[in-house]
Amino acid sequence: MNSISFELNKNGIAILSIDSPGNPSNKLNQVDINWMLEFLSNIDRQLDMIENENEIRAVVIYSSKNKSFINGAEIREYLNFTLADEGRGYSLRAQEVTEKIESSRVPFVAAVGGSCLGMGLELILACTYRIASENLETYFGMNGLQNGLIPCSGGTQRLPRLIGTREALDLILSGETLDTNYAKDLGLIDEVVPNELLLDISLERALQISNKEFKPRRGHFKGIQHTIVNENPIARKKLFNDVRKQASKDRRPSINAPIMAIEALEVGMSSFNRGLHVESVYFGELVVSTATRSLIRTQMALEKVKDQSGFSKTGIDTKCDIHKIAVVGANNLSNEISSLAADHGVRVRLRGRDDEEVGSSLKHCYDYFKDKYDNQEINELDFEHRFDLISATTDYSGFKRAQMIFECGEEDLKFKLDALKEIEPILQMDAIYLSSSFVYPVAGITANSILPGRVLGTRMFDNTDSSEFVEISVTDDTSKTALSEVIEFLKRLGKIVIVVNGATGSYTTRLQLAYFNESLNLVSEGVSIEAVEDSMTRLGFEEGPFMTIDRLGIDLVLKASNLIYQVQGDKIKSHPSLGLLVSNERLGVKNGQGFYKYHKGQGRFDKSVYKFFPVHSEKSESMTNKEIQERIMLAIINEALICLEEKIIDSPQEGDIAALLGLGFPSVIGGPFNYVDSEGAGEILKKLHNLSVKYGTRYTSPVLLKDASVSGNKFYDN
Amino acid sequence: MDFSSVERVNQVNKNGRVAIVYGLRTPFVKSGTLFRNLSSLDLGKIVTGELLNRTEIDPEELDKVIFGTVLPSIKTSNLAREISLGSGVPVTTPAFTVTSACASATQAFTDGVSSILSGDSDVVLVGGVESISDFPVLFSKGFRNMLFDSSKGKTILEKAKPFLKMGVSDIAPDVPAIAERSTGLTMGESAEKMARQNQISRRDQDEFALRSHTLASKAQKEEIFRREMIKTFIPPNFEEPIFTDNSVKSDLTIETLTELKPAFDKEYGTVTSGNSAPLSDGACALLLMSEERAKALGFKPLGYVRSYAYSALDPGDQLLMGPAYSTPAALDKAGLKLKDMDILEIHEAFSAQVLSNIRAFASKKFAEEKLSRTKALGDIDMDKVNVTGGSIAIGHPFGATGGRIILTLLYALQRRQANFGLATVCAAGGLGATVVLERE
Repeated sequence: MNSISFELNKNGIAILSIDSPGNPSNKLNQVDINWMLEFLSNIDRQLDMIENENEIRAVVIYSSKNKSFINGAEIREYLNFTLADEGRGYSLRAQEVTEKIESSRVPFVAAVGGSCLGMGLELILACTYRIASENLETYFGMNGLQNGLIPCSGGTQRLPRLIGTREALDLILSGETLDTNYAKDLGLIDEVVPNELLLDISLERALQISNKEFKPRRGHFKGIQHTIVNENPIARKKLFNDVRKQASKDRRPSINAPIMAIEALEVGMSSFNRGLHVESVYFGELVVSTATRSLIRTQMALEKVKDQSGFSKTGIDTKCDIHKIAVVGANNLSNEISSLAADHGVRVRLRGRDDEEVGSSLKHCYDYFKDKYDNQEINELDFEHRFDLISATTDYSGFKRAQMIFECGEEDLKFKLDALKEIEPILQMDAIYLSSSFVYPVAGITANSILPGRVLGTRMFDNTDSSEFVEISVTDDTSKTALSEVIEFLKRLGKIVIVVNGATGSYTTRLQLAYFNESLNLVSEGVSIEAVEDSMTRLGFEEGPFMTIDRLGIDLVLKASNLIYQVQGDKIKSHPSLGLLVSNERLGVKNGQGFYKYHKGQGRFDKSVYKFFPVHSEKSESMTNKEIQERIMLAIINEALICLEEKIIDSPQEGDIAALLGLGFPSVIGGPFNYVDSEGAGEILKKLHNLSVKYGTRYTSPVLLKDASVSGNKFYDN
Repeated sequence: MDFSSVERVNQVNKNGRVAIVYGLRTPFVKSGTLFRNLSSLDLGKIVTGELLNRTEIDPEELDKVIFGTVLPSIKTSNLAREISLGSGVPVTTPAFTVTSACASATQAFTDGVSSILSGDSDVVLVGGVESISDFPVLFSKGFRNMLFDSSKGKTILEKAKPFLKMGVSDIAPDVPAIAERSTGLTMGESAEKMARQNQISRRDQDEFALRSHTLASKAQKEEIFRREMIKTFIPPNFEEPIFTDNSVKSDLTIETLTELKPAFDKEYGTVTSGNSAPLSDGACALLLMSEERAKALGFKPLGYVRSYAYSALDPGDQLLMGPAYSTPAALDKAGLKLKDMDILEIHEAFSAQVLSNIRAFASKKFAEEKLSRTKALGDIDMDKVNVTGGSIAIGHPFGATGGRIILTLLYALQRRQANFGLATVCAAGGLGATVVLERE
């Protein structure tokens, strides 16, 4: 469907309004690109597109959406390409649009209000003049790399010419976004105006430019010195070498886009057209690669999950009017949720066990805002106002008016049940209680509740990369209204929420335990811990499984695995080494030694840990990275498939996003279900079968996979 | 003044009496010490936020917020409003700030009471706050004139010109006055004058000061103040919360007090830093409700307001004798006698001032000459006065003290299972205020 509409005002200025139907943000699809091409040809042939005989004298590109100018291309379409040539053809057409804009007989003015990303940015680079509104929702970025792609409509050529080679490389390789003022400083934007005046001033400038009353200066001249020092062949050569070296540090073999982007820029330095050629060829290659397809599918799954509202999940529409929450605990999780809630204007009552806990929590929250203040993200008054929202206590005073309770206390069942018992009677009838745990299934908590419908489980993640993700566990008793309110509240805090059935423990915990268990098994078979760690980081995990176990706490991993395997019968038992480690006081980061020894926050691998593994020499075989990766991945994937079959998770998309954000699953692989799609269900089934023959029932695959391999159905449509 | 004509006025309206539902304060700490980094606003927000949390009241119930303070804060002229906005009081609840020297919190309190009695409000949060650590330092009048003239200049030269006339005296800052504008006497000098005129000896003053510290220190040991006090965590480190009034001295002796040099009249004086209240930082808040509303919301009030009265005298006379005037008036309104009072909280600005007032209560001459009453108010049983010490030991944040003594009185009545009590303060300008409370 076409997203662009057209209107000619009395001064002969054409306004192209972009408004992707049914979408919260604007994305350019192939219909739009073809429409633009036709429109541009018509202008060049001096043909009028409307009934009266007025001539188009200038064009203003504008978005009818408040928060989105153009959020790039509709990447969903990319999944239809199967050949590199198809991708290249697409790029050539997109390049033609920008070339035609640039060489048009009439001036083009970009009126940017809202996010301007990827192809949107490439489009405005070709315009004669660029105006942006100064609201917070307006920002700029070349974000293709997050999907393993490079710009495809001349961005690799026009960006360095407008803002400088180093700056362009920075923007393309980092994928970072710039606010309006920074974009203006860089020369990306010519003029910044108040939001309300955006269209009026853009129309005025368009008229002035077409009347030759106003001549825009191309780019932002950074001074002769800057140009001589940075924009000369020697400096550029060094720059390209440096960034190439930096980019090749990424050990994932599937990630080629950064090197290709650098190449396109470098070639373009001597010839614009050759640069364009390289850009389109590389884009074509990338867009059909497995890694990019996984990244795109993941991106789409993420968008789907992000769009999910409390209403879409429960059918109940709630107003999120939470203005006060209470938080139990004094640890990273409780501090994070407290600071985040206050940052969103929610009053927080924090409960610590003693003065020391209270003091340390207050300090953490204070420092959260102080950092934001020091980084100039908030001003002094915001700092004061937001921190004012947090108060702390050692009792449960101030809990009665809290509409949502986050119990993030210690991972101990007695503590959790006592806390529930003490807090629940204080609360108002419509309050919602969230019990946070990595170990305990929520069903065990709600069983002791007065109002089990309003008690939910949650697993939050305190490693910064995935802290945007929250898993919510529900039971059959869970009130739909309560769930809907929780989803809306967490979304308000910027969280991505997955809802799982909490009867047997959290989905991410189950996946993680399968991951840890298989890693431990490999070591028992004689594979070195270093090899396992190395294999998994090479695959794209942020850290190896043993480091993750240490961070979570070996005792907690043991507790969790005992609980879950107890439910699952004797299919698997907790790995014996875990128990040995715990009884020998090796608990992980928390007491300074686990698989690693910790000194001042730095972990060093500790060989003495091998004595807790009964290695049989006849089994001691060296495995390749690929074999290790496959063994472990298949164990995780099988657990994910079982979770889907047991209806622990609602959809493969949610299962993938939870694995990516909660477990740090590599995004180039794109979650367990995407992996099955990429490899083919039949292939996975065969591999699992072979493993189950060799290693037993833990590799037995669920019926769901057999069905999929027979029917050929995929978890994702594309 | 003719008090004989005062009838018993029951301070009751159709909703019943005014109930004091709950109250809290921060520790009172010596200025320039532990609360150095907190402003009046910060202290007010701490006490208000905590009061809302602990009472678990729905903040929407609040009809009004009134705070008293003495030293103006330049950045927050309506301090009560800023405290409200920063501590969870709904933005739609009006708030205003009152000032009446050391009776500021008392004024806030009785304004809240009268607002409820008039039927205007049902629930009022009142309090007082002072940070003497954070007092405003002003440019001298001369310098301020230069700034003003300079701001009218258009060019840099014009802007600079007014400063060319600057002299050394213009750079010296103006410090807020603690002297009476009308008489030019400082508080301390006024206390000296009272000591001389009422023949209060140095020994009596020092002994009274020692009593204050001894009782306060005993109360601290018995953890009596913990009920009214907030454990306060201080940014940016939030370590070692403050949970005690740090000017109370447990090891003070009469000898130490005797050795101190007079602070105001160096030659003949008797008033020393030991027998006067120290400068302090602190805040206090009380939640007031109509009796009916308190009942409806399920609160068990600490006590009720029986009556209150204010007085004012010629500042050229004995400046701090206010309580001797306001107390008989309040008792008359309450229909009670001094001997009916189970506990009296008398603000201790100076030993000399407390002792002067107590003598005036007992003096027939004072009653006849100053109050036109035939009989003295009566003798005071000292066992009933400031039973946990007073401002000399606990400290005196000007704007907060009036609230603190009401709060301390209510808890003392509760502990002693007693019914009637009064709280009285003297204030600069010759003002006096007395509040009579009952627990039943």
